[in-house]
Amino acid sequence: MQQKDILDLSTTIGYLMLGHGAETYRVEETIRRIGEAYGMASVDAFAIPTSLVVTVTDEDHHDMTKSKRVSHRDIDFDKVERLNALSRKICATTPDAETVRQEIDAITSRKAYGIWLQMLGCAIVAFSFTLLFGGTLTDALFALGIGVVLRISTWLLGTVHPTGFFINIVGGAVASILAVLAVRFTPAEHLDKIIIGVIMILVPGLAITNAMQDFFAGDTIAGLTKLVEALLVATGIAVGTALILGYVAPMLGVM
Amino acid sequence: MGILYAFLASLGFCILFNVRGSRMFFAALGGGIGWAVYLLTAPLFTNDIPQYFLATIAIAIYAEISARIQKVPTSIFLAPAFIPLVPGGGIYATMEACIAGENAEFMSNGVHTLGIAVSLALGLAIVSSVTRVIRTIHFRRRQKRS
Repeated sequence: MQQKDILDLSTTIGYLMLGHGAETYRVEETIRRIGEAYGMASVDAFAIPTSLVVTVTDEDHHDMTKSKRVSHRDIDFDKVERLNALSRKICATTPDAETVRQEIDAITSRKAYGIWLQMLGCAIVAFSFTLLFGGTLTDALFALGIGVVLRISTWLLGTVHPTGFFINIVGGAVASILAVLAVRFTPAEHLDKIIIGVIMILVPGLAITNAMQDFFAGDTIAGLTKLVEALLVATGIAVGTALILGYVAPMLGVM
Repeated sequence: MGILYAFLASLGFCILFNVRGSRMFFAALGGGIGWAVYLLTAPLFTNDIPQYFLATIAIAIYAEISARIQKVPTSIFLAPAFIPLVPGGGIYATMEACIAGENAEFMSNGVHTLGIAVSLALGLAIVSSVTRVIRTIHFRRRQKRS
């Protein structure tokens, strides 16, 4: 395979893994292993959550560099898992460029769970967390409904490409106002349990775990980026919730 | 019952993280295990921070082992299982005290939540550092053999 193809394919695989939520060290290691499997003398990969730079050097000291900007990120472990499996396969059998491209296309065209299933996921999360934090069954059933509405509203909001911070403010506000209404006008009892249960949907669990793994693997810049991201998400949720609890809830006589 | 709720919560997150097939069950099981450790260690300590610490260690070890067995990235098991331990309640209580203007409450809740967050981070850090060492040793042995 030509150096150009090696660079292109390893960068594409790394870029996709990075964009779908893989750890930084895994992305860099995957790129390095693929390059070395195809006989490159040295491979340098540098990844942070928002960007990726790869340089491959062949036996005759010819360098080639490619950089990619990661502007859209989501969490899709199905794709991460398949890309990881593909990179293992590449290292073991070193297939030709065309085969690898087809495999990559097959992975990228895989669909994530549809909006209906995601709504179900949110419903389960909100329902079980409300019970876990000590809410009653009635509270949990309201949380379930609010969780679904939260997913619909963030989904609709997502179509106009707002910042992540804004989505979380709106998410926190939607969850709180519905919970306030539920407690005011229905038999639901615990405002705090419902709100906590629902906002757990928005909690940046992966950003926190990845940030820690990055820090202790020595990828401190990547870790810092993710930690700041997690803090911004948490602040956004808190601001959205605080707006409702501070201004709307007292008007309705709740709290 | 708490263990079942934690299992379900992790299962819900498997859908949001697009985890497929049997791995959904194993990732959700991790959530249950974490909460079980959290509950079982309760009598040992007077405050809940060490409980969170031990629960995180249990989940991280479980995730590393499952990932080795199934040959997939660790995050697939770690992230969904970890979420029930995130101190959502603490963050909420801190914010609530902040709005109400109760500064003492705000500080004590805030520090407590921070303590939990640090213990979660330390738990993850210890397991991932030890795993790295084990991986290196394992890799060297294999190289010697071949």
